Amino acid sequence: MPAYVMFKRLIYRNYRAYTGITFRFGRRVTPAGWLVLIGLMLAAALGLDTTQTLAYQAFTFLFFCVVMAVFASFFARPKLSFERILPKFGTAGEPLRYQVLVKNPRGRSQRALSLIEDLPDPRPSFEEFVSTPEPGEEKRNWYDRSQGWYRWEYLVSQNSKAAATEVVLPTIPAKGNLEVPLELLPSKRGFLRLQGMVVLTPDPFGIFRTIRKFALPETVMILPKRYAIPRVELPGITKYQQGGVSMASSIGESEEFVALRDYRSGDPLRHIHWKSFAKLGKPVVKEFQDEFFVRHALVLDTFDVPLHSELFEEAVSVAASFSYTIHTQDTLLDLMFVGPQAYCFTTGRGVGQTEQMLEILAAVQPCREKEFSSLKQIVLEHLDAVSGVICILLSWDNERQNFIEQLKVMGVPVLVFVVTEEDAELAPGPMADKPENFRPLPLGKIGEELAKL
Amino acid sequence: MNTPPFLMGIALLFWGMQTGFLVFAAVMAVLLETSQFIKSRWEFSEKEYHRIFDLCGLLLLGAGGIASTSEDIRVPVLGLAQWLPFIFLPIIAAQAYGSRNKLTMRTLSWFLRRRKVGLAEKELNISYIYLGLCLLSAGAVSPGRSGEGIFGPFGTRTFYFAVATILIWALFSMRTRRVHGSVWVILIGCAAFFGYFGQIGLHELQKHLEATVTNWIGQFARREANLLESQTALGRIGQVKLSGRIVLRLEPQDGSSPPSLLRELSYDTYGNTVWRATRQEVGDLSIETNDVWRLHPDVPSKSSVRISGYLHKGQGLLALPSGTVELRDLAVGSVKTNVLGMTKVEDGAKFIRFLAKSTPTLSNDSPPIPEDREQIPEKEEAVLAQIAEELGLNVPGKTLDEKLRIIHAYFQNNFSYSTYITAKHVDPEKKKTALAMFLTETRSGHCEYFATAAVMLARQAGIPARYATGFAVQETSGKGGMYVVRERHAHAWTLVYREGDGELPGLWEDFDTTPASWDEIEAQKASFWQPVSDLWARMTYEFSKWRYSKTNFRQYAIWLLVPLVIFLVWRIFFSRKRKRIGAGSVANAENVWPGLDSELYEMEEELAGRGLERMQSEPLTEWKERVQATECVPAEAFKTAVELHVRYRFDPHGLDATERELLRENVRNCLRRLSRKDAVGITDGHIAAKPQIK
Repeated sequence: MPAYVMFKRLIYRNYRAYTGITFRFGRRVTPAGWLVLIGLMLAAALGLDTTQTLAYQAFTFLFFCVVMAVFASFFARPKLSFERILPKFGTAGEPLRYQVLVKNPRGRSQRALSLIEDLPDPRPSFEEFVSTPEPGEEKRNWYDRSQGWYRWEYLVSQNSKAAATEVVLPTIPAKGNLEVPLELLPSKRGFLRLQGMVVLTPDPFGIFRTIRKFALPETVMILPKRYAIPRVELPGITKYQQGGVSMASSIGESEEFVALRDYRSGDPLRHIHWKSFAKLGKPVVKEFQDEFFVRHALVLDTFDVPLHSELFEEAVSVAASFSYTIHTQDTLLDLMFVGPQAYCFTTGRGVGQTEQMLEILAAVQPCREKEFSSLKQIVLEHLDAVSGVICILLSWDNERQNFIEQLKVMGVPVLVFVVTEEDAELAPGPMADKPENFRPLPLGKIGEELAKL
Repeated sequence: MNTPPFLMGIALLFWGMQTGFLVFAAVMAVLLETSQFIKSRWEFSEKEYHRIFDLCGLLLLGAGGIASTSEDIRVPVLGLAQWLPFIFLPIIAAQAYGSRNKLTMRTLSWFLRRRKVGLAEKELNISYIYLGLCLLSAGAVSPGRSGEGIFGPFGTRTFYFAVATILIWALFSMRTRRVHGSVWVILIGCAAFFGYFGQIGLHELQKHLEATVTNWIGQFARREANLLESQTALGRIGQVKLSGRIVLRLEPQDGSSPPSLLRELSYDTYGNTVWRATRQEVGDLSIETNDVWRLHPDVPSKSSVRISGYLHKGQGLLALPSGTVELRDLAVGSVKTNVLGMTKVEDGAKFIRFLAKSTPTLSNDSPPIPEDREQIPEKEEAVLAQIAEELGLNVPGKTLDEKLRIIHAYFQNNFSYSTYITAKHVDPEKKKTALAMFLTETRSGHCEYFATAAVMLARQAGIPARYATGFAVQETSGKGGMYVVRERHAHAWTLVYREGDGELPGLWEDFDTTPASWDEIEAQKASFWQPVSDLWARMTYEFSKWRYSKTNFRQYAIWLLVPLVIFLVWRIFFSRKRKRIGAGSVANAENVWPGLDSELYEMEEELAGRGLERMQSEPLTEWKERVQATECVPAEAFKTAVELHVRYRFDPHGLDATERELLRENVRNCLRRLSRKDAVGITDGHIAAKPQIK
């Protein structure tokens, strides 16, 4: 094994051990425990010379308190069983609240226990640690780059799919049940695998807590974060267009009566309002509410992004916001993106549900095997059927500009969103003629920019 | 404050008794404990909390500065530790009297103030931290100070019980209700029991370790100043290596010339390369006025020299010119002398600078005893007798001066100085001693050889003689007539006794037989970076001189802090109008909701203490059912109380006077029942007795 790899592996093991120990220690030691431990250390430091100070006497007392606490914690073995009542979906960035049924099969009540959800280990694998740089890592100094601590912290935070809140359980009666509300704060979209329940039992002094895990594997789908989007006038809304109508649940005019008007040649005879014809002496027809559909393509760029890219996550959030909002309008939406293969999902007007679209978006991953041209291909294939295209792009390079140019040449109205770094400035390029349809979305201001639509 | 009533006060009083700040401690205790009974609170903004903590930081800095100027070696760390409750009083008082009962981490850390989220937002109640600080500060007191009356500090034996009691009290308030109280008592009892014997064991262990380590180090240390014996390097092969580190600085005063030798110790008995001091009668010198120590009262001094040097742990031996009569400006706790002319100081600062006044016609040593004249090791006797015979030392009629001249000339003419002792200095058959080899074969050696040989020859010639160790003064330093003494100037020489002649008393004189070339040979050992290290030593010396000087620096330092403290206090209290908020409206002064004074809240708190707290977002009715299921309260009374509470709280019409009284009565009923339950006792985690509901 080369020395460099050995060094990296050594660092990796150190970080892994350190993170593991601090995590477990953080759970095990209560705030009072920290106070005792810090007091113990200070008393030890101050009482190092027993002929100079008396602090060593406080040290010995605290030391034996800690020993007795550890001794007593061996006897803390609560026996409980759990049942989770989970909702089907959660949303990234929104608290996920659910109930847990705690059952105490023993003949004595259980007091002062704490409960917390057992989430998957966020520590990255060695391969991930070696291959995934932290954004902006190149700006760090040589030492930080070689040690990779910031990269480790970044990867741990990226792999933490959710944060669990600890709850203090009220007394669980002997052979009784208790329904406890728990809360999770999912931070990432996708499947959140819950492993089980962790019960923390304090020792009599309240210094340490015993950790007991109860396996209870379950999965909950976390939908992407969504932004509030105002009612938008999408490009290419034209009445009586044909595309997509065949997909709708009802076709043509609805039964809704709107008004009367003079007969024009070509109006069906069955729409003539005979009473008015008789009164006025000229043919009058009934008008009905138009049923018309707009079909849009929502194109999501999945190319040229690293793992855990914030840009990509935000792009997915923007796509989810559109798919969620547009569905409430009279529109069909074709979501197009390229994953392991090219996908096109159509939803709206009875075809598919919003949740399905969001579920798809919850699972979408960056594409590394294919080129941007594969996305271009799928969009062009479906172009005949759509009246407008919403593109959510991750950069504004020549290839993407050419693609937009091509769409415009083919006469399709385009609304372009480019998710960019905070301080990037983009020239509209092919969108110079319609700058209002070109929207750079800098990180941190995405919600603000979308609200301006 | 979230400490139980009076705990903080007791801890402060304990600290006051230990450190001698009892009056201040009592005031502080009253100040902090009163906050538990006064409901009014000051509304400090986050920034004001920051400033108050900054004030504590400033006080800590100032106290650290003042502590570091102290002459007592223990003060810088332990003294500072003893002042901590004073220093952090502003912030704990701000928490106690402020509207927020917790401080953010941002307040307590200058680094976190720049951060907006994460750890910076975490809140911390510092009451118990302050309590711990009081106990630690009390523990920072030297165990020697005890038994000074009823309000005096606790002694080594009683301190443990005091500190353990306060800690048990604190731990009791933090205990979990998971186990029965008796289990808790047994466990804490065990901890206290083991802790008591543990602290005795720890103390004994240190004593044992210290003794072992001192012995161990003593075997290796070349110049460990041992009052009882001096292990010489006689017969030890190799080079005697001593560094060029400056150990002393001398400034002769009033144009007098510096002493050539500064003596630390003298010994009277020799054997097996070890010089021993057989007599140790030690006497204390008493201080006169302003750090003046007199060795000879009523004797005028003829020359004086200012000596500066460093003490290890505030104690050490003074290297003094012979005939020293008075020590001035010597800021130490005690000065001890013995019959062999030793001067030892204790309880001093790290650095001392004093004036040694001396009269060459005096000596501080006791008159000779027969050993000083006769003690010659048996092994050495033959060789010495032969040399004395050759030199004609025992020819009757020779005066002391003549004899000394002969001995001096003998060494000067026939011997050379060498610090490098080779195998040829040692008899391979071990028939001859190291001293005999020196005198008969090699005729070269270092000062210990010369001094020992000269003592033996003098004794052989009937002159009382002793072996002296100390330093030779031979190097000037820059301008101003200052002399420096380096570690390699460590020297050994002979003391010979000149009998008194009626007018003048008997006198021990320095008699140095080491060839004059020794200082040149030693000077050659100077390392090439000596100028650099000398410069550093000079800077340290100048700083120490300033720091430990007798100026009123400490007072100035305090006055320097005053404007800063005034400025901060002004910023805190007068920068804008204070808003004083009344009781009951601490959290939300604007919105006064009806029913907030409902007695059910008291009930809720009481039940929470028994593990029946209302969970977040748990409806009142569900909680009511859960509580009723435990049968710890009268079901009907509790039900009525909850219903009335709901109406009192949310019904726009509220309750009339009768209903209000009914709510009060029902809650009281429930509380009475709960307290009776306590009296009956809770065993095994659930309520054991089930009295009938009336």
